[in-house]
Amino acid sequence: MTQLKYFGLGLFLGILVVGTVTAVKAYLTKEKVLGESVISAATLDIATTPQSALFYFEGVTPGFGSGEKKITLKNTGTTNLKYTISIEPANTSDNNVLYGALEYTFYEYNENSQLTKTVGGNGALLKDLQNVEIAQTLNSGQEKQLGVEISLPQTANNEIQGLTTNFRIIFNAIQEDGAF
Amino acid sequence: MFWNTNKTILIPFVLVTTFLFFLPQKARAFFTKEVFINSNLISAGYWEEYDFTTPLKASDSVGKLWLAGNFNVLYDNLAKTLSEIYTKEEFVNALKDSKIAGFEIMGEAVYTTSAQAYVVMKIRYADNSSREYKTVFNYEDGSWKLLGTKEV
Repeated sequence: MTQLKYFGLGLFLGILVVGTVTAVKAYLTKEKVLGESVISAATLDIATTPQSALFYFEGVTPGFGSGEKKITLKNTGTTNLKYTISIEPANTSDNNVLYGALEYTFYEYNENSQLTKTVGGNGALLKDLQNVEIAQTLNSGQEKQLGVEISLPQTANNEIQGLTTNFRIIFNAIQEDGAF
Repeated sequence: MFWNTNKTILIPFVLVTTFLFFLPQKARAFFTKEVFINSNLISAGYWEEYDFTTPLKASDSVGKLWLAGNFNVLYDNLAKTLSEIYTKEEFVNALKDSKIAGFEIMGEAVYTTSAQAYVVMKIRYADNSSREYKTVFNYEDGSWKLLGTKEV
């Protein structure tokens, strides 16, 4: 019976310690909710401008370059987030040799519009742009610009003449302390 | 000594703190969201001229396109009768593995009507074998369109 009492006391002390630490942490961070509840109270949302047709080029030939197209990303949620960028063909038929031949360069800017990172270039293929993690986090309410340039190399062969590809750019956002 | 004396209280204490502190961290799901920029389109133009103005030039163009494996452009130069049977995708998929090693035009074009003609082409394959085909063209919309081929 005494041992059972001690066991119960141990449980009670454990709950008390965890509860106290969580409450103090919540007080210090000025959150009104406790522990893990903070996460469920937050919202994670992200918006892009434009929302469609960043690239629309017809009749491209080898040596084509789209020029840098800017994307504005805004964290419209209440929690900070980080994100990855990917490209995928809209339909199976869009995954053709033209899609496979396109190259990309991706630019990341900070909030002062200064270039902070370049990904791709040097013949990097658009189809390989998969889950590239953006270095900077996007804080709640913050807005940043990214740039993407697409090109068709001079070495593109005749096989791709007359082909069309449709693709989507995907931003996969996750809360700042999350793992992809 | 301390453990042995107090293990009855220490065991539940350690268990409950571990559970409450660490398990939720491991088990929690992170918020995620995917957003898309849809409807991006790139279409390739034509940068090599293929001449379909006469049956003879058309047969040379067919040979060049076949040799290059450029069945997309070949499809664009099919006679309606043939292009109505297949979609471009079906046509390209059907021919994508049938690339050739070379071709030769055998003689002049033979006009069967004012709007139909054929040219005999000798096709050479990768194993150096060769076959001759009668390549038939229809005159449609101002140019000679491929109607079909038949082994001679």
